[in-house]
Amino acid sequence: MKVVKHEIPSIDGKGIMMGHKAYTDDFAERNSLIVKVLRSPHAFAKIKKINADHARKLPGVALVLTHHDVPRKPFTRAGQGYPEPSPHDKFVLDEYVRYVGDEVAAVAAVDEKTADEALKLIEVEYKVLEPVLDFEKALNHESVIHPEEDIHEMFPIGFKPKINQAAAYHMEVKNVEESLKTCEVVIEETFYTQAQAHAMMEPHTVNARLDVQNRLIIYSSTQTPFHVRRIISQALDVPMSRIRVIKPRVGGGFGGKQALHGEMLVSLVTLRTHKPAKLVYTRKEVFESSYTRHPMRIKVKIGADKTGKLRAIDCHILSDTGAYGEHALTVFMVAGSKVLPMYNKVDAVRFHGEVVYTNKTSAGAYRGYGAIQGNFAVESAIDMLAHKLNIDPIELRKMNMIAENETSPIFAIMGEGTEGTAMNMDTCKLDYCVERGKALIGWHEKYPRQDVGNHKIRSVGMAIAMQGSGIPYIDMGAATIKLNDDGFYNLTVGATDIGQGSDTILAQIAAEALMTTVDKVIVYSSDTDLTPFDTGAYASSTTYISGNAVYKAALKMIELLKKAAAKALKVDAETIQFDGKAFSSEASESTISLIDLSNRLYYNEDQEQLTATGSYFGTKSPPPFMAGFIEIEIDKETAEIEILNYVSVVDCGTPINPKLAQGQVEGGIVQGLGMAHFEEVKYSKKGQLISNDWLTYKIPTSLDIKKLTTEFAESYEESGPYGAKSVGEIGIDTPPAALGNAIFNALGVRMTELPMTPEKIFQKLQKK
Amino acid sequence: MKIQQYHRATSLEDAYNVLMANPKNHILGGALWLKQLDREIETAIDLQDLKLDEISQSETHFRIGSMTTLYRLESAEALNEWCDQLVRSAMQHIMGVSFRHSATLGGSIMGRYAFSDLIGVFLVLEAELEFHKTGKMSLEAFLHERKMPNDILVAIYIPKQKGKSFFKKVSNTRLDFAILNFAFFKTDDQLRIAIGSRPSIAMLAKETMAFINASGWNDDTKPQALELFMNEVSFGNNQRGSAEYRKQLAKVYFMRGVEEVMKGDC
Amino acid sequence: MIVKLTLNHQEKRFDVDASETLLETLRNHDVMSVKKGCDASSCGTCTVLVDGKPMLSCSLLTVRLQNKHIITVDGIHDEVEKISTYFGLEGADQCGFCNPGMALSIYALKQMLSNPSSEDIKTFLVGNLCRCSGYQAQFKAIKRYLGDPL
Repeated sequence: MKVVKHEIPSIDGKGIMMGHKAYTDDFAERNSLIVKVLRSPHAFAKIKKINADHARKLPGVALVLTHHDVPRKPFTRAGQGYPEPSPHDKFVLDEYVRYVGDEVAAVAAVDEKTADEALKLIEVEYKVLEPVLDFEKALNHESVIHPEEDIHEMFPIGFKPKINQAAAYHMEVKNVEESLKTCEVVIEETFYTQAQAHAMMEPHTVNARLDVQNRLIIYSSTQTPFHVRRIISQALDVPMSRIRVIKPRVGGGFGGKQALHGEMLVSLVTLRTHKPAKLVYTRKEVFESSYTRHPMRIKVKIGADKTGKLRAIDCHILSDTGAYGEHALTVFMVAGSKVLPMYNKVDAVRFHGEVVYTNKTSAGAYRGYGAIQGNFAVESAIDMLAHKLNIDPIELRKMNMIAENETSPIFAIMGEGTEGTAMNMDTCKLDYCVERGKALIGWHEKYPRQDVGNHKIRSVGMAIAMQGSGIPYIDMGAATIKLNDDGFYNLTVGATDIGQGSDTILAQIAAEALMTTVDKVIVYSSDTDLTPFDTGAYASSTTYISGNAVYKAALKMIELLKKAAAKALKVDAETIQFDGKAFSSEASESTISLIDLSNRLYYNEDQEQLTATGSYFGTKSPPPFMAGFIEIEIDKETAEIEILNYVSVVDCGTPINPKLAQGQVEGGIVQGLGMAHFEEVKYSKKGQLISNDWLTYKIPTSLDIKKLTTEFAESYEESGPYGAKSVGEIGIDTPPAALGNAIFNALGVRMTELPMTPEKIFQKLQKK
Repeated sequence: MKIQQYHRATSLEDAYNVLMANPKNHILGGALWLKQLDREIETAIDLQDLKLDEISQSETHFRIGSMTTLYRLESAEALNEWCDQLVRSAMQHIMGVSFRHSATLGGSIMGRYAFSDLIGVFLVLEAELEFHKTGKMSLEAFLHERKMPNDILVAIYIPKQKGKSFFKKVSNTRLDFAILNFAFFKTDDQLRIAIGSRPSIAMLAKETMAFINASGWNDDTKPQALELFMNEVSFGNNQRGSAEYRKQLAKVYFMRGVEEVMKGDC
Repeated sequence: MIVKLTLNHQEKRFDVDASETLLETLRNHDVMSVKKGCDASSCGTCTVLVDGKPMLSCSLLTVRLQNKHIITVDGIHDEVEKISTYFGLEGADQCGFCNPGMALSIYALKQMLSNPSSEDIKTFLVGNLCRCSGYQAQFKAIKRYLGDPL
């Protein structure tokens, strides 16, 4: 391969660093109305009275919206395909406010100062209600967070709002209880994972204006422009044909921009005032009023015989979706479906649980999407089992983990909100990943610990993980390739580059197929008017789904080119040879270059625009796999931890762009380490978010990670574009369990609650 | 935060007069936390033309202008050489370089921030503050003042004393505020110990210092010194850590810090 | 209030009120390379150079900058082009939102420190947060840039 599997610099990195306009707010109209949102100071309250008269009269205020002024149609902001597996439980504005930071009203004014002043003039009388803040007490709580009658599920997901249940699920293969009874060793533990903030650098941003056809043109910092168009249309009762959504460069998403944010309010302002409007979330709003990772309580039972052969896994999860049910069912299901198949040789497996509402910031999609939560619990429990059996945890895994050409019944049973899809592991280099990682970290010398003196212990720990590559039969991507005069191409994709580099790798796939170079493929993403459909950048789907679409479009383009060349050379198209630059035929003496052919097509003879569109949906979701190994140095007296090295060996099929793929893995590792070690969304006793800025919510800095070692396994997934699987999420999954296992190996205490801060480790040591 | 007027002071007296004119008037330091304040400032007074950003030295003292930036402090070779790099060690843990290019020593002291890593350092270096009207006052006395002096901080004096230093900030990430911070400074005959972000503001452990300075540091005195220290210093809870964990950190780093600065001594 | 300053080597006059920050002034005047990541002095995306020193424009009151020389990435075009080339070669680009601020800090680092160690580089850049990259590719790129003779 000449372009794929080569380290091509990101096609827009230079332009961005050099300061060219790229992001949503860079494109806001200069005279935009500034939209500001009045947010609830209460965790749960009913608005008894709201008076915006004074605000409306303030000079410079163009519009004030309260729940009296907006359409009342339940919808979900989740940003998923249709029909959504998330309950339609949200209104643009509602008489209830369900968390501190929930929307009460919005103002649009000529400038920020006026908007801020107007917010202060809105009088609200609340009936403060008893909030539900402890998710373990949410089910059947006397406070019902969603008492309204007009909300609903799109298909059965276990939606029972009257008992604060957003979703529920149960599945069992064989009889787990019976199987556990036959096991010689059973590990039983309860794990807790916390809410994590996405903390992308670009705040949620949206702006809108009307065009000369009076259509609503929205720029949004979104991972899902096509879903945004559909959801705005549904929520605001505007025909979809009257809406155009443009996604410029997105400054990080991690799932946090899959769901909608300010789009509804800004659209309404522009539709009502006919003026451009914009909303940039403050950092506080990003933390308080966007989304978090779903916190979970995970009860795991793992049974084995005394040789270490796993017999049964039982997993019960209680998940906290916060005030609204975005991704409630699906994140929770992925905690099972992208974890349990790793141990496919068990006799029996059960996965069940509930997702509950609480009066906290809504949870939503977040890189790892349940898998990181489930992985922490199961991969910690596997190490506990190894310890109990006195087996090296690597050997225990090797004995039980999934291998190439094997399958798991779970694939067929569990999908994302629906039934799953049976599939074989056509590529699974997990065995290599484990062996290679073991060598790279120096497991043999370092496991389990070394006392290095000076109160310090060094230890190692590891975990394995799997993810998916898009959602089979649901996720869809399309790409259009257009030939231009002078022989270069436009590639338009609905796929959404949010920083992961999809524009670059999709150009690489096209260039490889078209036998040209990346500079001849001009990528444009994504714009609901101009680019073909794509479900969006989520579920680790872009490389595999959208990449396949690009590949198919490129093959079609080659066919079109050959036909056109055949006309020019006056030979049969079947005989045409194309090497990316010129066409020849055994039936003809003459040849024609791509440049000449394209100039002929647009200026001289047989004029015709050549355009090819490819689209793709998966019939399976080949999982990428990885083994993650951590080496830490821990202070015996204070439990302070230094992370010395994190080794990742990843099977993502062909890395289309090895450097960018490495960036995906390493970015995921560091985000996962943040979750494992110190990141935590914290609330006061009254439900106010405490961690609402960068001073109170800390993400890893350049000084917090010493070394990352990342390698890829040789692997070629036949169904993927040039052998590729996904790589966007897999990196985030292993750090919590690997760190927990390393802490156990160092100090002999088992951490069951994230984040594993030095203080919590110290507390466990005290109890030991 | 809203500022109505901006005044660029032409002299200290001018700045002082404007400051006195309205309780809503405010002296600008680096202004880095200013936006987080939910208050209105009538006139913001800028001291940038008053040459208060210089570090000078006499035979006995360093004089640091109150508008000296933290970055300048960490880069001040002579000062850091005298104090065994204590100032630099502390500064390098405060936010990023671009933050420290704006943040001023005066602003950091006048803010009396409980999480401050820097106040402990200046306590053990026996810093003295010079105010425009009030005159000189030790930093320690200033921290004990109930009411903030309604005055302008002009300079900070550090006596020249050679010594050995130890600084430790315990935090969850390198950019986070401290769970606890420690500054130790040992001259020929004096050991000084400060502990901050308890989560209350930094304090000198005076009884412990007096005990060690009088009785020395050896296997017999160590347990007593530790006990004194733990009795003398109070700890509380905040979102970064509990009192219990802070106590553990205090015990550990008290011992490590004193050992470090006493090395080769006794 | 009129403030006269030099922006990327050109004299500018801005009419601002006393509360306005340099970040607001710049973005209001279409200098979009300066990003607003937090507005609270804690992320580094709004970094600019003031008289050669990296500072956070979200916390600088424009009224205080009379006669100062402000540089954004637009003012050190050739150097940023070099930095971005190494970022590209190392695969250090992801969402890019932190990159202009990061580039200015990197440029300042090169001016201010000679022969910095890896630890020096990390310490200098610790205030420039990046959520995408895990920082490793960036450090490789920065080291290559620092080795590149000016």
